[in-house]
Amino acid sequence: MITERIDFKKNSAEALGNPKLKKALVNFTDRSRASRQKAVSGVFEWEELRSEARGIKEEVIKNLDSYLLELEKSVTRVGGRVHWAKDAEEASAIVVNIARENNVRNVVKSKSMATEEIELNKHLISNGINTVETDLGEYIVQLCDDHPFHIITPAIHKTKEDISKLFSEKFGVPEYEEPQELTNIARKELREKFLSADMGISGVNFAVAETGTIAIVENEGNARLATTFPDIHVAIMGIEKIVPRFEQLSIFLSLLARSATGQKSSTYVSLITGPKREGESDGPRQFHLVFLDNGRSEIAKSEETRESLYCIRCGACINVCPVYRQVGGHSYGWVYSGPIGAIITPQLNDPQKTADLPFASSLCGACRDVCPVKIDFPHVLLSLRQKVVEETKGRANLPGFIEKTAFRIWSFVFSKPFYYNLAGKTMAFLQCLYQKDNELQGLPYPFSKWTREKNFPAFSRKPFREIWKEKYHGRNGVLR
Amino acid sequence: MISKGSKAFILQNLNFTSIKEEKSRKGREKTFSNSEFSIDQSKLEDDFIENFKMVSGEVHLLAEKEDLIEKINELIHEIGAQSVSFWNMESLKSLEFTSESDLANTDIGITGADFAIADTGTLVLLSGPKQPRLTSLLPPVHIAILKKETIVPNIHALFARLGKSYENYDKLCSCISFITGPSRTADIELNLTLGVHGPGRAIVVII
Ligand code: SF4
Repeated sequence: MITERIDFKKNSAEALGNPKLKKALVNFTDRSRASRQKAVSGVFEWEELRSEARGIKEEVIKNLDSYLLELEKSVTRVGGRVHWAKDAEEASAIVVNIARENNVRNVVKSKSMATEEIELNKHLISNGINTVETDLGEYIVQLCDDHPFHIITPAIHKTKEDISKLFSEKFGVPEYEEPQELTNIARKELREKFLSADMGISGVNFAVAETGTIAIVENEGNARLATTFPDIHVAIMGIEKIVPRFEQLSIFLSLLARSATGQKSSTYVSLITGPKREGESDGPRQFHLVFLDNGRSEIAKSEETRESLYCIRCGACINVCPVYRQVGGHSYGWVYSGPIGAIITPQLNDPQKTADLPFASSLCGACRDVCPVKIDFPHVLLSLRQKVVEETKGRANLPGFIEKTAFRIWSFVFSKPFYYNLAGKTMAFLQCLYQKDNELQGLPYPFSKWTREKNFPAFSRKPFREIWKEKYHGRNGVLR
Repeated sequence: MISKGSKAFILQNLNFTSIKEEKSRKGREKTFSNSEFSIDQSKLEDDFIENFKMVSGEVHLLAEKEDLIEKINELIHEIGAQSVSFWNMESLKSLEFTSESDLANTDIGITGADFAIADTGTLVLLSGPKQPRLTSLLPPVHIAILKKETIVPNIHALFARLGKSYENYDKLCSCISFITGPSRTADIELNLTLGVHGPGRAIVVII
């Protein structure tokens, strides 16, 4: 939950002042875009896949109530248990409860945005349950007590040197330099954790209503370990993750891997249907699936922004966003960053504390063009902006007042030729105070907000109207 | 805190349209394919090999299925393995090893593969009493034995095949694993490293 107002401007100013971060961001976004582009261009029916996926999602969200019931039935049929959580607190309480009932001491977690969202680790740890993130990036982030920087690659803001130092401090090993050496250390440390864990927690990429199957997509194998080795598997899913039919997974799996990392397929996809069956030597004895609402059913109601729930968390929109490329993941103040953060954070949290986010976009639409489920970001952002403005209506609000007054004056002046003319001349006269090489610099408040970042072109001494008159006057538009 | 009313609350909230649209029960209207692929089995095999190698996988192609045991022995020797663990498969009956049960301390895990996907280079393993999941996961090297006639062109074809073999899906196995190469991560400055949690080497023997 967000406790303080997210100050996007302040956060981004901090990020912009960090040259190391900037380099990492440019390198990362360039590479992810290129590999996605390459992977996508190899699929001639890409656009059809996107349309099909969107169509399925539209229908799922409209009928989410009956699909959730169907999924519950299917999971129960195969021997699993479903839990309904209306908010973050309840979801954490459910997981803690399962752990307590089974005397769980050690938990291994695979990467899941839903568990980040509900701050599950904090709750487990405060209840005396050891909890370890096992995705390498998340593990690094957890070791430094930091927050993920990106939904797919959480530790992209850490350099090799940072990680090398960190491991050396925590595990008393030499400061290795090679990523492969660092990876080996992590493997060794984490393997121990897996072998002693009594509960594994995972997210869910897709949940199939008709069969009760959950799909988990990953590259490292930690999710496979976390869902196979311990006796209890708890999976947490946002209620929007449903796919109606088993066969439809092929569409979503094709879209996800290519959009997320530019791979044709992620290294591992696990389709898990309930706990282990009779005669099987491995797999969990208990399977729990937690349905997390936490504001999602509210979003589903809204015609204008419902499509925010179609997201399959691939991160492609983040990688192409010109704003994210500059300001990075932490500026968005919560677990989801980039364009998807800008639309989902305000809808899952207090709108007043998150009012900056819908404005953290240039509305260029690059996100819409890559999104595998074709979320119309500019549309959703504008609708959220409208809400923010309506919220602040009637409240004392200086910038809003100035803006409104400025536009009133502007519309008055621009609709009367006399005043228009006069204004142009006055400006051309007044500007000499700030003019430098045909540009205006260092204007007084409130125009300083503009000129702090870029110069304003100077007003022409001779207005266009006069030039026009001189050249065309009485000549029927023929140039003199 | 935990409340019995949450289910009702969520369902109530979601009951927002009075006339619900017809659910898409009929199934997918479109069938996706990839026209680059013909049904020609040897082309599928070539594509699978190319794609599996592209993700750092290793491939050995056998001319005769009688050569399997010899090949496996050769690989065990080359890897210098002390212990191996393998699925209870007919084709491995004459292997001169006993299958190690402590998988966490085993050097090689040998499994079959129920299907493979050509255009992504993916192995598909179904779980079952004779097909434990950890064999392909815990040891540092995974060897999979693949019959070439089980290679399908793409993921859409795979799901169609699974649909056929399961009819109503009520006997769906507890875990279907898709494996595309060795375990990998790019979490440290985007450098690709192998074997972070799962096997660092993934080898396919095609018969
Ligand atoms: S909004 Fe679209 S592009 Fe962004 S993460 Fe979600 S599915 Fe991917």
